[in-house]
Amino acid sequence: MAYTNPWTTAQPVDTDAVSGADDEIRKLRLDIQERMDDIMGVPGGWATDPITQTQTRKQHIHWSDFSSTQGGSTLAVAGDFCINSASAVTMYAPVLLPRGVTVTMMEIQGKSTGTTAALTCTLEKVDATTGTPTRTTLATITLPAGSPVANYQITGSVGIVIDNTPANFIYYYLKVTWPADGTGLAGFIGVNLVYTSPNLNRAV
Amino acid sequence: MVYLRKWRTTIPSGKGPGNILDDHIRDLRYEITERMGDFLSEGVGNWSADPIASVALKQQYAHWSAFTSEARSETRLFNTAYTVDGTSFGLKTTSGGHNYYVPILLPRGAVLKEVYLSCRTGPTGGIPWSIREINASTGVPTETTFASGTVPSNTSQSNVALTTTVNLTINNTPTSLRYYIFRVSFSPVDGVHIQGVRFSYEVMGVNHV
Repeated sequence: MAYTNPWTTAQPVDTDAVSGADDEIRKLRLDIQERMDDIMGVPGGWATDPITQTQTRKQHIHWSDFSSTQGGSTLAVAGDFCINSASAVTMYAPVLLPRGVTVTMMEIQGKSTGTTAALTCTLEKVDATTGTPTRTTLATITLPAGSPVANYQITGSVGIVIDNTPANFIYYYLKVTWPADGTGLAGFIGVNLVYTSPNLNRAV
Repeated sequence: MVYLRKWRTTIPSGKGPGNILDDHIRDLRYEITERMGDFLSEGVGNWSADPIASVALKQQYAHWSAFTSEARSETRLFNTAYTVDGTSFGLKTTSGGHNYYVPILLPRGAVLKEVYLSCRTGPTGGIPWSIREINASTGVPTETTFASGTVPSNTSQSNVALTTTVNLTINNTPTSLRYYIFRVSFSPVDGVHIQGVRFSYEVMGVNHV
């Protein structure tokens, strides 16, 4: 959308009538608002109290960002571009979202096509702030046996705020598990986290 | 927060006396200062700084799963001896002797200020650590260690400040090819658990998102 006025640093000029000063101030207010709305990506966001910068973003975490500590499992990409294994597997990946954002949705692209295996994806946190760390499961998606390759979203709403308190030491991560099944029957391509950022200045 | 005044594009009305136009301009400056302070998320003071600043410490947390062992086997992503402790929820091992790397993925141009390791150690050894830069800009890569040390043995579960004075600027020169890494070693191995590492950094400007 074109701005109402081009930005100028040359107006008003000294020879303008004082009676036009109020017009110039209103014009300046409008010029600022239009440009800040554009920067923040929220029409009208500059005029709200507080200013509105909330935007929805996505972070796709491919399986290659995951790590497995389990021995004896032959991990491979076989079928549907999924990482899979005939043995039981637990894989972990760090969640490197900007601090202070809110996760609003989680989904996994994967499958569990065997007759016994259920693939599970959880978003968890370990709070190591004190000398006794605690672990909390924040969100879970389960693919029951017989699930074809597809995009599976968490049911219900998610509203997980990624802690931004400097005194805290909270680590967020994803965990994907599936029990032993036939080769190529269970696996995943990746996990997608949708989040809202309260502020453009949240650096990753 | 609640701003002092609502933002409007309809004031001044044009019906007021000319001698309050200076008040209107000061009001406008104040309203901009309040909102830009929010925009920068650093408070109103940084909008009035010269240059405008956005330098409050930010945090990036790397859970242990962000690390990679150079001793990974062909058939699994980590050496089989690594497991997740059921109480500390940290990574531990019974074999050790391996270096363990995590890339430092801070925005380019940021300044790394502090590094904390969430961990514990056992009675016979600590955790050697280092912060390194690999400069691959030329045909002969070089490595520089900016900070290093060892978490002492018998360290109870805590968040250990490895360094609060590193002041490492993450190079942002387009012609440079520099990689930044954090490295720990699980050697010796008794009682070492690692939940993750936290990097605290400053970054200038809102364009680093």
